[in-house]
Amino acid sequence: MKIALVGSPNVGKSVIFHHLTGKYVTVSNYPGTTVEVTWGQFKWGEEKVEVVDTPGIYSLFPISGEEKVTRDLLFTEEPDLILHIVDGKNIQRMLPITIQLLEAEFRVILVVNMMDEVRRCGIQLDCNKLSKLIGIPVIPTVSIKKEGILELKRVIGEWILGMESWSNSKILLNYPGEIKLNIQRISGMLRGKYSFSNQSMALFVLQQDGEMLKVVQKTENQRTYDRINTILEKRMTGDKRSVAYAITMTRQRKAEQILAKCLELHGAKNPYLQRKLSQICTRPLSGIPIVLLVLYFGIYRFVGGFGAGVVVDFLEGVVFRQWLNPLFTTWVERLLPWDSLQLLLVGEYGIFTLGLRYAVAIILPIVGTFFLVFSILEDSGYLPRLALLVDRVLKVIGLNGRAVIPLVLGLGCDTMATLTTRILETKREKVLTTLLLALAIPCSAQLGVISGLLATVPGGLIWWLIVVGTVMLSVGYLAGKFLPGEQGGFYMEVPSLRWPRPGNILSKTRARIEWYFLEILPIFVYSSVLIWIGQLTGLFTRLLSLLEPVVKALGLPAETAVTFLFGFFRRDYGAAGLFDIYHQGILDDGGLIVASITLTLFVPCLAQLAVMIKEYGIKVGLLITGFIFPFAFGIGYLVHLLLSIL
Amino acid sequence: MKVNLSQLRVGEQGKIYALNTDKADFYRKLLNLGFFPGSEVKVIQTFPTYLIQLGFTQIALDRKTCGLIEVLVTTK
Ligand SMILES: Nc1nc2c(ncn2[C@@H]2O[C@H](COP(=O)(O)OP(=O)(O)OP(=O)(O)O)[C@@H](O)[C@H]2O)c(=O)[nH]1
Ligand SMILES: [Mg+2]
Repeated sequence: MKIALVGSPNVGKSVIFHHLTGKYVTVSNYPGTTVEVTWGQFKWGEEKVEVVDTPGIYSLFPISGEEKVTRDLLFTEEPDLILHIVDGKNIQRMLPITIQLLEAEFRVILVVNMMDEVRRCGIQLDCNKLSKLIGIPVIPTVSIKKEGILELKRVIGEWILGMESWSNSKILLNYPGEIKLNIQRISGMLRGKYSFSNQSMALFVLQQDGEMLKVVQKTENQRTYDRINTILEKRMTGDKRSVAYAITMTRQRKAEQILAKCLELHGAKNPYLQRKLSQICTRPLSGIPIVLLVLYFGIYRFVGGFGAGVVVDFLEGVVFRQWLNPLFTTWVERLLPWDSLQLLLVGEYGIFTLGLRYAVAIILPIVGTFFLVFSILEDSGYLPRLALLVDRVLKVIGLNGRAVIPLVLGLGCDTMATLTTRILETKREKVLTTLLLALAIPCSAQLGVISGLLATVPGGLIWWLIVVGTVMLSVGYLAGKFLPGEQGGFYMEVPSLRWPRPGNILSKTRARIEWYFLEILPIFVYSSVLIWIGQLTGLFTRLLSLLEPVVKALGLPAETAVTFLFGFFRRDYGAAGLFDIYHQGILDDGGLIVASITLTLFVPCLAQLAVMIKEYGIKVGLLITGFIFPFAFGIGYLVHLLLSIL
Repeated sequence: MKVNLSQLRVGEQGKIYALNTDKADFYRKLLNLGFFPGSEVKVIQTFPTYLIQLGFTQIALDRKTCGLIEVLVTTK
């Protein structure tokens, strides 16, 4: 048995998924948080019920990538029940999706979430009456307070018991003449079995939904498909737009008719404080200082100073170097009297002395503090406001405000952010953003280490900011000029500002740290093993000697070659390596600046490359990497030259 | 009076009259966001980007997109 949670972006689907299954998925206050499906389950008596959380959609006809994910899921998995989650405040805009789901003949429960805000806005909604009018259960909830969740579970239970006798009432839609006639024609022709009703398939076909046309072509025989094409070409007078218009408005008017009978507005405004705070974030005069404050206190002081400074110094300098490493080394030397094994476990690049130390003592505190700050920003609803503020700047580099979400997410982890490029509109924006993520956006570990180390060099951070910033703007600008396609328009829903909930901040930070740690730990361990094998066979030194001339050209000591090699396995691994080298005292100030800049720009790590290839194909992945590799070293070389002249 | 949304000033209101884009996907997106004929909009901010109140949500739009949306001015 399968239940799917479906609805517009940012309405609380993921919160409800968590309540139903106990499984945590990321919840944030901006549209487009969820970009992939997540499965979970719960037990109802003997019955095992599978539940799936999906990315938000604006309609069943997908336009962006994450909407396609949801429609594909509904189409291929054929869920037995759909919970359509809506934001009660905006039910006028969202009820048409309920209507589409009912047209497709899904069994649907309508969950009217955010009832707290509904009441605050002075909206009175009679859910019982709505339920009678559309013939499906309607459950009001305040998911963050768990209000209505029990009732929701009870109704789901009832449905499980009486599944056979459950039937949706039909909602009659009166499409304009030509469309109505052609819906009947087409749905009458379809012989295949689809997960959506014939009426709904006919509607997709009439709107020339490319994917659905392909499905129909594959399923039906050639004659039927030809006849359908004849209808599309000869029997429809309107263009794509007017058909879309007629269909959308028919549903919209129906929704309004229904709501007229059960919804009353008493016109209250948003609370004063909330309105003022929102203005402060979106107006340039106050918004730009806020961005700077967030960067200074959130990133520089808290992540760079506290996380990468105080905590790392303690964990790395004291806990590992003074206590754990010596202890462990003595044990290993006593218990395992074989040189090569000792080398693997506690040698210079040993699993314990290097892999574990990097992961636990350097990366973890930085990534942890970063995710904490980041969660607060996400949950308050700040990011869409930031998007609005910088839209014009991003336009210069061929993007628009929407790209803020993946770019800022990239400061946490570039790999994760590459997936989020799905929420962007055009292939061009996606590829451009992916390129910038791979090239110029440092991940949290890099950011923490680099800002921590460079803060000790006079002018260091300024150099880094200027060079990386210039690279980002100029590469973006040029790539924007050369990549084919048009620049897309900017639109984005700006959700209400909400107080971040400490509970969610903690669960989210914990979940991300857990995910991150499990992701990097094995890689760090494998790297130690690989290096160990390399050392035994002599390959490691050969590889290093290949890289050495390159780093020497940048004016760096030969030892930094290892750091770059690390950086290729994982960005954060390279960052930790830089930290290590710096503390050995072999890098001078200029070297630190050059190494920091080159490492930031240097190739996307293996994980990121894998995601790039998965999302955009091997060609794009290799092209981007092939460009970045020489480019990063080239820039590093330039900076080295500049520094030695000055 | 019919004008483009981008011609309204902060605080002014209007009723959507037409969407003047011939890109079907973008047209559809605007419809689904709630910009269909008859919806009432109010301009909250115009710089650096437009912020439009639409029902109980706010939507950020750039100038170009606002220029595609034709409204009947309803401010008294
Ligand atoms: N006031 C209020 N806020 C809520 C309620 N339910 C969810 N939220 C908040 O709404 C925001 C969005 O919640 P999510 O669960 O991430 O929404 P989603 O539908 O999964 O969003 P996408 O994944 O972007 O499609 C979060 O900040 C939640 O804390 C509610 O009932 N009342
Ligand atoms: Mg979600």
